[in-house]
Amino acid sequence: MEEYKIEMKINGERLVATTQADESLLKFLRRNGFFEVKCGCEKGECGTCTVILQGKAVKSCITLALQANNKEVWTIRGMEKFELGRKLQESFVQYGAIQCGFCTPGMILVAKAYLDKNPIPDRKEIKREIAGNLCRCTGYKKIIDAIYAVAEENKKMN
Amino acid sequence: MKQIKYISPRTKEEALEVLQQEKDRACIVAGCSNVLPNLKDKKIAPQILVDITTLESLKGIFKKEGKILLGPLTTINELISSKIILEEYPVLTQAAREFADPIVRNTATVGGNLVTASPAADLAVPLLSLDAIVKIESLGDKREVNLINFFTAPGETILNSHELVVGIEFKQSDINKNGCFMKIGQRKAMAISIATLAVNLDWKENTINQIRIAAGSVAPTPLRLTGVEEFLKNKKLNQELIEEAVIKVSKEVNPISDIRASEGYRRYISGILFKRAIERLAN
Amino acid sequence: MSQLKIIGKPISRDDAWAKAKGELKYADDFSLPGMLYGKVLHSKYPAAKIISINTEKAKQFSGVRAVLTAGDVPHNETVTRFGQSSEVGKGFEGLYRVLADKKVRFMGEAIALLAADTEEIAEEAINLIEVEYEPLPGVFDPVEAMQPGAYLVGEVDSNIIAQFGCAQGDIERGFKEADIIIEDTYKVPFVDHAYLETESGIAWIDENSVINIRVGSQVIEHFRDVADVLGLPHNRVRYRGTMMGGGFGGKEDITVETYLALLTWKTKKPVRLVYSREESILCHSKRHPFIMHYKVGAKKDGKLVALEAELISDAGAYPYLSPWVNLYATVNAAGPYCIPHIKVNTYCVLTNNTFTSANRGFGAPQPNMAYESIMDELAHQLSINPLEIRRINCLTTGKALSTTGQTFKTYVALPEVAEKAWEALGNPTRIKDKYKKVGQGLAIGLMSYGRMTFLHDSSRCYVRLESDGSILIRSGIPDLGGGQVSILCQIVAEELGVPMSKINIYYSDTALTPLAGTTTATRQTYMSGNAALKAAREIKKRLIYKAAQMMNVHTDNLDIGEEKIIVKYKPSQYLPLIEAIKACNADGIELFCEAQFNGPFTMTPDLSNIRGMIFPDFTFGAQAVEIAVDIETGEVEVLKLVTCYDVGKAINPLSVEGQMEGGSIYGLGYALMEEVIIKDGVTLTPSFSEYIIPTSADVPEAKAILVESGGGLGPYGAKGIGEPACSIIAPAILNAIYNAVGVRIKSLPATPEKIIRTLKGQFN
Repeated sequence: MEEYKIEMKINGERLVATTQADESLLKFLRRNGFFEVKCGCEKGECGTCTVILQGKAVKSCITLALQANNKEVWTIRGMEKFELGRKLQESFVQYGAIQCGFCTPGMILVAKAYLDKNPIPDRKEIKREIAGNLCRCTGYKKIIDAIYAVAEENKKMN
Repeated sequence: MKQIKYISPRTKEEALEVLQQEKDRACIVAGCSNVLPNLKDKKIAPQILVDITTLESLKGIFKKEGKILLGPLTTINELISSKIILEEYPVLTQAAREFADPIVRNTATVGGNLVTASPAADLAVPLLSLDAIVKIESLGDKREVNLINFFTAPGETILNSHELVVGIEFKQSDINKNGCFMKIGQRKAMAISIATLAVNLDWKENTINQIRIAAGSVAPTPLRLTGVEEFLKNKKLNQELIEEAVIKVSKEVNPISDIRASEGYRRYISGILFKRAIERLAN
Repeated sequence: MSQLKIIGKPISRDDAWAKAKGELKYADDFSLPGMLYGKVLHSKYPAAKIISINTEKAKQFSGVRAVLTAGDVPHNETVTRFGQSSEVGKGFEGLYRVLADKKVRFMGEAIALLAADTEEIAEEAINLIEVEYEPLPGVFDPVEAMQPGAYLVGEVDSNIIAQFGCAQGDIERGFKEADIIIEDTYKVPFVDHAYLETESGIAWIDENSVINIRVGSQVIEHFRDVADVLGLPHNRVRYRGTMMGGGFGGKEDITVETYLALLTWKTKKPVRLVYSREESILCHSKRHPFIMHYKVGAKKDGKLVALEAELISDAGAYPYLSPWVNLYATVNAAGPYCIPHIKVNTYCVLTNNTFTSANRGFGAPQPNMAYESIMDELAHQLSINPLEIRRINCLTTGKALSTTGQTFKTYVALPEVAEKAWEALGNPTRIKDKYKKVGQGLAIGLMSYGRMTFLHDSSRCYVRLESDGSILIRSGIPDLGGGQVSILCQIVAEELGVPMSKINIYYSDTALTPLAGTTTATRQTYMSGNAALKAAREIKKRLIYKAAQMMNVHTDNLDIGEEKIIVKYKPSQYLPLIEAIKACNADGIELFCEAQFNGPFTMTPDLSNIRGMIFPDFTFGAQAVEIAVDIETGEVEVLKLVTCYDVGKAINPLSVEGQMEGGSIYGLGYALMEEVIIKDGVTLTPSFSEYIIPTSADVPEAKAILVESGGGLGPYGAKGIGEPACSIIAPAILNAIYNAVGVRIKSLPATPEKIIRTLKGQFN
């Protein structure tokens, strides 16, 4: 099997590693110890493996590792480096948006990418935006609460 | 052991050369939302993945001489945020908003949705009702195919293995401006359609000048309901006509029963979706 | 007792930060040097004879380290046990067969195990195992399977694996007294738990020759079952349970642990095994489909007089927890109503479908769907409003459960919760869309919390106060995501007057943490909460004893709070906790305690006529919904959803609301979209694009109303809420559909197509 050397910046740190042509970014990341990227279905149908690639949320199970070559990837472990990331983490904790926690990394990342683009969404918009990330525990209410609280704070600061 | 290679051509020409050389050993990848699951399920077994995501010439939405050209690598979210698409081709914006989910829309592409050729391809339906043309190139050759002739069977198109879709084009016109897309799925997001339907309508003083109706998930391929279109042409739009047309829509679609819905419901719901679309356009 | 400082407050869970930061390691977020990758070969047929299995090619494949079939398993056939400490009789213990031998019973059954150097090799090599099958006819419908002469799924002479009955009064007389009788059949499908973390784990052998299994399990007591399979002493198998990415009953049976143990035992190397989503759907347990025939009689004024029910459930190919689930269904069959004449019979039947077992609600959601539909129909036919008919008939304090005669001594909140839920809906929303009709629906119910009392359930917890005033807890409690672990921290923090941040807890380890029993049956807050409370109070007693001496104040006048031992009548007078700790340590007073809490114990009941106490207590609740039905497409949009339960005492209101909101959406999926379609034993919905669960776009923002009567058996009067919260939403939605468009959907899920078919008859 042919190996390809790739390089990416993950959470601000350079990683050089090898991959194979058909390896997903999800598998690549987990194989390199980024276990915080969760695997729920490997078909793009659950959103647990969401990462931020070049500023956009993507499902890493339906992205080739090679497609992230020379790019910037952020996982939940890198969110502490952003004010918005920290606020979202804090808010998820505070509002009880976390139960089993398996969807949490994906949820926070999709919320981060979205609020970067649209800092003051309403609840309906938040609900629409997280529709690619399944959660089996919370019924979504408290996740929406948590993201909305950050949006409200953004509103106050504007 | 499987041997699979990867190449990311730097130019369109290089991509075409690779395709010419590798033919059906090659699999083009872009948004990957279908390719990776298919690889995992061993539904496909290419020997080389040709990643075209870096080909800038295949990206973007261009307006020129009364036409719009979509680069096949245009993502669904790019379509949604395009002002010109919203104003001139709202049927496409509407469909794009119901496509998969917000994350997949970041990477899934228009071209990918077409070449995958799922009977349930959500973007194929509005593009059919916009009467889109598919621009195809191969090494040293080009051709154009009306989208209506593009799909041949579930998962199959007229595209040869050495060919690449390089653009999707449709006209700026009154009829294209007045469109409506309808979808029914098992849920509101991440839903494979039970049925979709798009209508584009040009009418004056209650008379239909021209109408295009396209439907998805109700036949082996996304299709135009040309029989109903023909029936409606030059007719006065009124309640009886709509009711008659609803029955004709139900008859013209050719669905199967599967886990998502029965043939009967799909025929029935296609008629309803048509009625809803035409009512919205006529009001 | 002084005012509660941590209990009852909406606090952040102990585990929340680790999850928010992505630091928490789930079962397979872990690797070990030299680790192998395990893979399971599953049956391609639902019913077949295994003529031969040839593993040679797979064994020869480069990188393959082991291939195991039934013959390689020391004790391939044992019985299913679930951590119970009492002898419950054979009826409840089904065959647990690790690998199929001679005959396969369902598609997806494990036939062989393989371990290889890499995942890719394992995936390729597993296909090199050649199995020669001779397909057998099989039986896929439980009613058919019950008939004499039916194809036999197992090796015994009947497919019926359990039968239960309940009766009171005289059923014939009851129906004679009735002014109105409603008789109908209701059906519910297979559903999947759809936890986002699939079944997975890692196993290795440590320096003491102990097989360690790192896995997310709701029942870590399965270490004994795994040891039995391997023929090892129980103390040579150790579960190191991790936080689960959801359980919902699906991680209550053994999942991949036995396979992991066998592969590591055989290869002497660490092994990882992770189910794909497809394997999770195809090969692991489902919620039982039921066919429920009901006949209910009432007087003109709405008063119920008789209820007869026959429940038939599809156990799938192996018993697992089926008898238990069916016992729950039997007890729940008449719902929360006082009915003088009752007759319930339940049959649990093997088929060649995927096996069924525990799923959140454990046999309650199924009959609840049927009897609450009937109550609604009765209300309609008698022109009584839905709230009123329930008020007339529901159990109240001091009354007895109609099926078993168990009397409720504490507050029965049914009238209160029903009213609160119904009223919270408010007036029907007006919608301008001419194709949409709005309807409202109500359902009430009861569900037990705590395990069946004849299981003699207990839980243990160890608490230790450190010399710096920090606290260490050890409890075997598994946390499936509901916050079970955090609840114990909260209780200990409250009792010993320290902040949550000063507590560290070790959980779910069968070797090092005291066994706390299963995270099932909505029992952990009740059982382990009480064990933690008992341990913490014992330490508190010792601290106060010492402090009383030091402060020269009577022990009755001292309390602990904010890291101080305070004089109750004069809070400015206190002893810092740390001083008391120092003094205790100097005196050799033990500042640690392992406590055991026992639930009530009863004898195994007569299963043909179950009477008396079966469960320690029940949680009462009501759910109300408002929906809009599109009369042309059949689509249902849930506009409002209210869940009101008497939770006794909300230890952490955020967590309780989380259970109620999440539970109701779990139930919404059951009502409207979820079904594992199994046709002739073949699963047609093996992925998340076919097995549909609700997304955020499909659900309303659920409202949770907490009633806190303080009447529960848990710490501070808490009751359990995890399972009850999902158990009556489906009938509430069905009743709302009826209210909106006048059609009664009698089988789940209520898909748009089903609604339109019922509304319009045939298409076209």
